[in-house]
Amino acid sequence: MKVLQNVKAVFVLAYMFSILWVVRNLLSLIYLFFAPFTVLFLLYAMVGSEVLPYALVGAYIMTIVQAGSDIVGDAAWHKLELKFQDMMVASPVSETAYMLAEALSELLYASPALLILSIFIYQIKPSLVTLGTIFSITLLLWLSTSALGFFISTYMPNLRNAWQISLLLGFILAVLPPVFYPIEHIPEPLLWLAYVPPTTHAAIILRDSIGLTSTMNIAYSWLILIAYTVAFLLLASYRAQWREK
Amino acid sequence: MAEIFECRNLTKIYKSSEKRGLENVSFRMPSRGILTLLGRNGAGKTTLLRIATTQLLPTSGSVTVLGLDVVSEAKKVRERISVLPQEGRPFPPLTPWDHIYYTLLARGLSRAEAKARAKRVLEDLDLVEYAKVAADKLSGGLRQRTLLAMVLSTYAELVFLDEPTLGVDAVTQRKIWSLIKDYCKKYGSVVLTTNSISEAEVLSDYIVVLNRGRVVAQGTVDDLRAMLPYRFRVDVSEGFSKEELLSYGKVVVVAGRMRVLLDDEADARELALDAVKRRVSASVSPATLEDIFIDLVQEGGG
Repeated sequence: MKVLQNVKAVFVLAYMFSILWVVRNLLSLIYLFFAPFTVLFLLYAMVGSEVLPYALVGAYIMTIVQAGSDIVGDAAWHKLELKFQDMMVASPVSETAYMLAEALSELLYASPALLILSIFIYQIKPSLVTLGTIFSITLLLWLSTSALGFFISTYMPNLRNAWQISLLLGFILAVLPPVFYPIEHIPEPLLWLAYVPPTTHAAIILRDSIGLTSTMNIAYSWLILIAYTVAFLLLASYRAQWREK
Repeated sequence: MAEIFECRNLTKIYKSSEKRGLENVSFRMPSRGILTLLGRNGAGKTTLLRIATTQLLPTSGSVTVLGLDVVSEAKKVRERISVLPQEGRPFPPLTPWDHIYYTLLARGLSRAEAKARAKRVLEDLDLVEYAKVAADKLSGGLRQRTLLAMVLSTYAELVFLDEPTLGVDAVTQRKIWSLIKDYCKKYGSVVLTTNSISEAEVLSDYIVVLNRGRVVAQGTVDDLRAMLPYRFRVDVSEGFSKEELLSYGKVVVVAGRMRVLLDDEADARELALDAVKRRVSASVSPATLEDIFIDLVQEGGG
């Protein structure tokens, strides 16, 4: 199958998994709005407007992470329950195209929430840098978390635990690290641990673009985030289990 | 010319359980037609099908599909096949039309061609009135037909159907049989798995009987019939002990009734007459593929 046909397959399958799904089942949108906006609302209600920039950045990153980590459950469901992946493996659609379709579908699904949150973030410091940063962070974080999520999903032996793994991944990447709060809040002995997740660096970069500077060098954060993205994409491309052993 | 489908000394040992799924399986499907993998549950049919459709790696041996090796030439194989997995399910809120049309688009068809094929297959499978109904509102049989429609609309050179009539009613089953035969005439070959003897008998050009991961028989329906050393069967419900019946031929118990398999027509008549004398019911009929199947899988230790 030619490259262009595979690109078409990515968009067709992503449309089928997300937009068509939402069109046929509008209530499913609630799920994606629920987590980030709940945290945003609670922080705003309990602490006040001074935490809003942090809360918005946190909610934005959490939404992208949720899109990536949801692949664990969704792709495992498509593979193990619906057996749709089996049908697609035995077809001209390439493995990479199928993986990208799963990832793109999650991004499309999350896009209404991301659009609203990005408008709020942009309003804090309207500039081309902010816009460019939002776009770049979205792309890098979406690619890295989706690749990681897809990689994990191919090793799920059953669906029972897929959703739990998905939630755990979201918790590890978007709740524990300094995504909703400044990295300076982490106690000194644990600081090294806070720098490990890619989401820490995504939050540092995004906050920096709206004037919330950090002690961390932004250039390092960009490099680390890019390195994570490349590593997770390679992991998913070469180590995802397409054929069971 | 390349074989349609061939397995050579195929063995599959599952790493996780060390269980042997397939053991030294060899057979070939030299020309276009319908090949049936017949066997009981757990016989290894789905394992074999998953290896052939590039979803599972074999432990040893080789499988070629349309002349291509399924391990080293998997990408080329995938471009020319289509598969109906066992117990697959459609996406709950999507309609049969969505499933067929969009998967055809994803396979590279143009919108016009995908639309035309989707319409045709919906008509062929009597799904027109359900075309716009969400899959979670369809019965199990209609869902199975939707999945089958997704596969049959691909016009792939070789389609693999894992228990295609699972969960459908008898009328639909016959409709599906005729569609599978029609597909084979018009578009390509079919490899299907089943544990239904009547399905295998009606559809198959070639049957491979699997039991506990091994091939216990293979050939056409006539070849398999010829393998059975019994031409007749006599069913008796009561009035005879097993020892008495063993003097006539091989005795198998089917649904609480004794079935005697024998080759001599005179012996069959004698047994029937004996039953009449004892005032118990008995029926005499020619041995069928079912008798051969039960004989084979029981002989094989199944």
